[in-house]
Amino acid sequence: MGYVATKGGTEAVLKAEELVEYFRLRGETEPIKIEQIKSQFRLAVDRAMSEGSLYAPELAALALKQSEGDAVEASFLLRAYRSTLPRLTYSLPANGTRMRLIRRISSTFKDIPGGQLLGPTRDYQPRLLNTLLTHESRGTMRRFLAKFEKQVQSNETDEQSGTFPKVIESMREQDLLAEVFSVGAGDIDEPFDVTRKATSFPAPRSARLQIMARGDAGSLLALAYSSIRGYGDVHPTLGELRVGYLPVEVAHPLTGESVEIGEIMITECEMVSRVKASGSEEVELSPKFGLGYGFSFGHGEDKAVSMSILDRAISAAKAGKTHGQSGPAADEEFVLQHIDAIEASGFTAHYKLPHYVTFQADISVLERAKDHAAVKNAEQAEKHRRLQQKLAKDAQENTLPD
Amino acid sequence: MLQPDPVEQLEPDEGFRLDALIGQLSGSENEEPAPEQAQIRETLYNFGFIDEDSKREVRRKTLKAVAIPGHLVPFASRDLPVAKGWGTGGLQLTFSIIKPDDLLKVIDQGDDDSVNAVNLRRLIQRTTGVPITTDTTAASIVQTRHRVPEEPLHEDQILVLQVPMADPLRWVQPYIERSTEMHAEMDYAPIWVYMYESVVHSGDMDISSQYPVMVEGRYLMDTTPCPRYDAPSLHMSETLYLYGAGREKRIYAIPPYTRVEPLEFEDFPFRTEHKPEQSCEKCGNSNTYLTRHYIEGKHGGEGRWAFFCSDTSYCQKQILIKTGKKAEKVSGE
Amino acid sequence: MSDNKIVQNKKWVLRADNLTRRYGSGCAYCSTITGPDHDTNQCQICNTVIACSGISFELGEGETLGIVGESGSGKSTVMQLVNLSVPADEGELWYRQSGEYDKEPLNLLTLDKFKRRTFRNQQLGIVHQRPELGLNMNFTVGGNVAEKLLMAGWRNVGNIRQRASQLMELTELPPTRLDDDPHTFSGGMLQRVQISKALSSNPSVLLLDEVTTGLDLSVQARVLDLIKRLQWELKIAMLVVSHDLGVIKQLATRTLVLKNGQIVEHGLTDQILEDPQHPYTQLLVSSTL
Repeated sequence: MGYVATKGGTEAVLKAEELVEYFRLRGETEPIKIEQIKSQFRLAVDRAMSEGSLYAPELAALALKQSEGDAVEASFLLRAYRSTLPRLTYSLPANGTRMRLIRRISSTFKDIPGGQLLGPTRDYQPRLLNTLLTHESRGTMRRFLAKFEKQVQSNETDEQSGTFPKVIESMREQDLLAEVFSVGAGDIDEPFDVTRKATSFPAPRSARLQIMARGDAGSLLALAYSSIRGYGDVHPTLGELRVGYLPVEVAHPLTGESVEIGEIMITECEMVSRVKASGSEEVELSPKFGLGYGFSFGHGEDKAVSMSILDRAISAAKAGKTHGQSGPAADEEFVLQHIDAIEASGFTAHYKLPHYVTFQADISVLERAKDHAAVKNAEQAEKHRRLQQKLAKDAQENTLPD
Repeated sequence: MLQPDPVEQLEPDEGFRLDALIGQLSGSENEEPAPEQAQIRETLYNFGFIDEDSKREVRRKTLKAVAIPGHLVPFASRDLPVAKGWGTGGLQLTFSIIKPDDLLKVIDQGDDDSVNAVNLRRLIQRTTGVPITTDTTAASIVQTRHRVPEEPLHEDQILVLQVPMADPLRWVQPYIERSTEMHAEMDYAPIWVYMYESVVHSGDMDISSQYPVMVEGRYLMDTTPCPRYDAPSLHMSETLYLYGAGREKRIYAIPPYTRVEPLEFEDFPFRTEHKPEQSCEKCGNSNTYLTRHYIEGKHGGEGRWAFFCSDTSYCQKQILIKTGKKAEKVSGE
Repeated sequence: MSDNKIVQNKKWVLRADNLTRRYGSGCAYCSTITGPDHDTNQCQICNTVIACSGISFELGEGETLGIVGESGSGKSTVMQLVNLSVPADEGELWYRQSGEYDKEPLNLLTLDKFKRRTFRNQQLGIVHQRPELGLNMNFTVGGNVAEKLLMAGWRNVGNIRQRASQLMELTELPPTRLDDDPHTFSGGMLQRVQISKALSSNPSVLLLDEVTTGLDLSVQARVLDLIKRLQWELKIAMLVVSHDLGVIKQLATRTLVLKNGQIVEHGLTDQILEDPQHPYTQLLVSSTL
């Protein structure tokens, strides 16, 4: 087969590709349309876009179709494609307050300016499998949508802009939030772009946020979980979670004025936690809350929440402001090196590649170590034997009468 | 205002390009084209797949690496249609230096026909049209994983090695932030202690591959998972060796005629695994790196293990020289 | 150099002149409102912490100088400065080889990073309060003792092991345990391992940073006995930092008393203990058991 010096390898690779296609199609079921994936699997599409680091719902849906639903594989396809795209421009800084919200909650206060909006969430549904879905038809869909739209029409009020102020803004007004830096256009340093420049550690915060925003939701979840379970000193409260449509603006190439080029759906999370004062701090500096920020393309709450917890943990650790147990989640280099799905899966999977040359080398080293161990064991055995002999002799001598 | 990088203009029609690339990559390969035959390359993508700006960055970083032998140079590794950890560093180096008149060889474990070499070679061919060869002495660029070819390379050839883990200090210091300082200050004592410890535990240096070497007495360098057997070929070589770690985003290099010395003790000198009494069952040579292979038994009989050259093209050449015939499958006894 | 030094030592190997280290930008008021008279290290105006300031002393060949003070006194900072692990904001640190008193002394704080590393490896030996700071617990005891030798370029395993065994005997450790895991050693034994490692390069100066703090009293006594024996046998210059006057009394001929980053008293150890001048020293002496 493959590794003998004939053309078996090439043939094997081609046949493997055919087999993949076969496994995808052999069910002979109705070919899935991109539109269906986009609309009925929107959360998978959102995750693929988020980890593929490319906001392109059709392409994400296509990638999911091609990868037979494998989320990491779909993100991989998007990343590779993204690499080939020309970089046209950077957007103007976007502010989350301008989002048209579909969901907005805060755990910090019961009532917040604008109110709590549950929006489309499964959080308060019992997780029971719904067998009725197996009989879903165009008819049932249309009936549901008609009923729903009637509600919307009868509820319609006049000027619902759909935008709301940020909860953390009211915290700022109440002087509860630690100042980080001022957010005005032109005040911000150019953000670090990890796809254009190699990161070194310690990393600037913009690099950290970028790496996490493209990171694997599962990895971020595990690390955030470890932090809140006790391997960390951050006790967070969810300041605000919002999901909605964010307008994207660029500067007009000629006039320099801002032009809105479209909207993307995003999830944004702001986590607050107590910033512990270290021993040498002035008593006058009153304690404040610190902010952790999380972001995801599309509707990705777990990821945004996990990211905000990690951002807070890393900020606190870097400022030297953790007191209790710390753990890997507060270690910037550890977190940022291990949360990228494409890197992690690529390298973990690379063990499937042939390693027989190095394994042969390992065998030869092992053989030598075995010989060495055998010699050492023989020496040990000899030592024991002599010791036992001596003890036996001593025991004998002691029982002999004087 | 933030300025985007000046960029090569590509076709704006997204769907068409993607379909085309998918079609390209899953198209069947008919015959292995003869070395002289120029392949018509896919014009939908830039020559060498990655855009010119990315190539420029890789080249600049490569020049820096050549100027500081053995030093790890960070670069902004791009996402490619090949998985991280599967050769993207080597690919980016090859893509950045390859020209239409180059002749390319790609091997993995020394074998041209190894499955990943097949995949990488297809991608390079489709996006450059450069002819390929299995003849080490004829190739102008050889991209390799885990082996240095048996036939010594010359000064007009370049060897591009794929690197899974770039920093030789990672055994004693996994944090890049600290290992970078150690390299800057030449603080290599912990690695020497590690070597001492392995002698104490196993009677000899128990590093089987990725053997650490000192380059020009200044930088500690990882030789990639090539066996020890290949480490001596780096010292004072005529050829330029380029190392690319795509996932770890590092490039390093050994320019020609560079002093490369494996770490060793006076009473435990560096030794390769070479056993002169072993020889390849196919070509009879005992002066190449051999690997174990299982041969199926004939007619349902017992199979057995045999040693063959890992460098398959070299092995075939030897057979051709000895017998005048092309290699056949070795039969089980 | 201060004029009221009781003993003028012309044969110094290490000399500190006005060493100062601060955390923060500093301001015009810092020096006037910080220090032992103000009972604080921190400037109320600019929040700068002055870890130590104006530290000057001479360490003679074969002499042991004690540095005593409480937490925040600056004694650890002085140790870090002498060990060249942190830079000084002001001041100088000079070194001379013993016997070469007419030559130009070496300005340690201006050494480049390579020379600094080499100097620290060859001429200095440091023993930390906690063994994990001075040893790598993943390596064998022998590997730890051998680290400075390997750094200095020793490349013969046989010779390295022989030297490491000798060093272990010197500190009363059984050389048969050369290949043992440091986790199997007690606290007192690990301090001896640190001492072996520190001495492996035949350094000119040995730095002992709270080396007996945290050990049981009987173990402390044995380690102190070892150090006294080494003082007598090797005649090596030593800097001993401790908050414990008892330790200082046993080891140091002369002592500096530090408070809030500055020297409040200095002189012969016996004289300071018998007749302390500064109120803080008097407090320390009177509270010694």
